[in-house]
Amino acid sequence: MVDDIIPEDVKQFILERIDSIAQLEALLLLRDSPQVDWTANAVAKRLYIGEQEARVILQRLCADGFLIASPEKSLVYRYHVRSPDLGQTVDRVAALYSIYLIPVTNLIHAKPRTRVQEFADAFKLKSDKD
Amino acid sequence: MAGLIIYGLCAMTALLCAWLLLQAYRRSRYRLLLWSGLCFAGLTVNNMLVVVDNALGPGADLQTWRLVVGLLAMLVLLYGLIWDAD
Amino acid sequence: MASMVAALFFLRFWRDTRDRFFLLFAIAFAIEGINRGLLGLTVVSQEHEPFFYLVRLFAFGLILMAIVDKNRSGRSR
Repeated sequence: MVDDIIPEDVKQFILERIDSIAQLEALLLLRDSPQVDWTANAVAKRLYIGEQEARVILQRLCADGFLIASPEKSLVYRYHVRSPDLGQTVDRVAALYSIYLIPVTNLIHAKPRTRVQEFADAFKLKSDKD
Repeated sequence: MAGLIIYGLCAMTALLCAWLLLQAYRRSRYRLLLWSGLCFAGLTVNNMLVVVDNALGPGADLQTWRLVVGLLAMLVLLYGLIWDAD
Repeated sequence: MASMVAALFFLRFWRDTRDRFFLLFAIAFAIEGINRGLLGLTVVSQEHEPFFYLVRLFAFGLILMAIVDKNRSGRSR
């Protein structure tokens, strides 16, 4: 049932690029205010997470092409996607997340802790999602 | 004879692994699954070659092919483990 | 010896995920690695020597056991 709500390509995107709810919230937070520069500290305060965690999330999002780092100050980022396609996908994710909060969070929570767990999971003969 | 049966069983196990891994790769696109799937496909062939070698009789010697296929399979797996494990 | 390197990777995955599936794979690949190394050291093709194919059977048996175990416990860890 969850499988029908989220389109396959968005699901792939989330599975590949989004590792946690905090990361998704951070991405959408910066997307909501694309003119603003954010520090890890500011993000941490808004999302009620630790600053170290925020820093890792922002670095990862930047490396994946969602944010750009400020040239003058270090560890300051703003929303700027690497390609229009990526921007469109993020827009779709944002829209889906606002309507279907539970299915999207379930999808993210169902991801194995590290990707390598997927290797072991490949050997499960029956699916355990229900 | 017992040896051939065992190599045949190993080939089937490897085939099962390859199948499961490549199916999972189709679903999730996690590249390690592709490389390890190909590795097990290679190990399937590798084990089958022992059986084929025997069936072809004393004239044939597929030893070199076995070594090459086995080595390639492991190299593909190592590539995947090093670069694409995430 | 590529098998030994693969075995080391699987050991690390076991350490990271605590999923004994990876431990079984690590042991299977290590055993196969040693087996193939020994096979390579012999002058004439010896695949039909019981020792070699029994060891291989054991290694692949471990892999099968890992698969069965993964499907029985039902938990992802």
